[in-house]
Amino acid sequence: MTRNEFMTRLRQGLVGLDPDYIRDVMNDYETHFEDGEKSGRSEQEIAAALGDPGRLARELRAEAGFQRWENARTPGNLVGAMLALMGLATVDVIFLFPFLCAMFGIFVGFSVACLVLVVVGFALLIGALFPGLAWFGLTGGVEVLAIGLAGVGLVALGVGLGALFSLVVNFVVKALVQYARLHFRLINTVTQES
Amino acid sequence: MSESLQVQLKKGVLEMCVLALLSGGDNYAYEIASKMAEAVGMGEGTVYPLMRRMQNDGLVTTYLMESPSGPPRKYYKLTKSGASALKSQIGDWKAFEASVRKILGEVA
Repeated sequence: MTRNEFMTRLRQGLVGLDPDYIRDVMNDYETHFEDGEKSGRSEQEIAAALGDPGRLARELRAEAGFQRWENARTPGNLVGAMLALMGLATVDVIFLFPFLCAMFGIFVGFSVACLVLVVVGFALLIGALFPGLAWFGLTGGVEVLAIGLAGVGLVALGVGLGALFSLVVNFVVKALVQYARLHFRLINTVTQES
Repeated sequence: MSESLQVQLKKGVLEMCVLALLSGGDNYAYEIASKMAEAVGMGEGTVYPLMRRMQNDGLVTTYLMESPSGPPRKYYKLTKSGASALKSQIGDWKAFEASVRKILGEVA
């Protein structure tokens, strides 16, 4: 593979990432080629030692996703990190894939469940606070109080479970990221040697 | 199967090796990559994502320095937290190595 082919395939693999990030990465590898040529290696030798640019791009892409999540642990970045893991899993760490799919399913299911608890809780609370709106025909004060308390309870349950669940997910994704990083490098080393 | 054992062994120590390399003096990526490839058979291309992550983790920082030939060069430098990470990893490594050697000694 020539230097141009390598750089083109790398760039193709990075499409969609932050332009500054792409420029930094491209600079790194351009410099690597220049340094290699200065020390007397051919473009082909250097490209071969660098490894498959498509695979490197996948690792860089995943790494960018992991880092965004590590720098700001927002739900959006968490989904990004999970998708980054999926990207690696589909091609490079295939045996993780079924596990990740199951985890993603559980993640979506549980998030929806917590959301439903909160929404239903709020609906009950509003029904109790504004009996005029009541669509389920509230009459007695005790009923209103019971419904209102049930609403508060459901909201608290939804929020509490959600918080607990996000702790668990954070922990699992962190472990998976760690594992994927080690394993990715592991695979790369094998490819280099064989 | 010896190849798989070697790979397993390398797996955990790449970061420590890079830290150790930098503790001997600041260096630029091409040199780090060549040394790591030569010493532990790490894919040269993989050094870059690793350096990026170590930078993100605050273990190394970069600075630009004029080079006699060509554009300024990006150097990597160990941070304080990188130095203390190296120290604790060396401690772990030595303890691990000693206990493995003890068991192997009983067999041999």
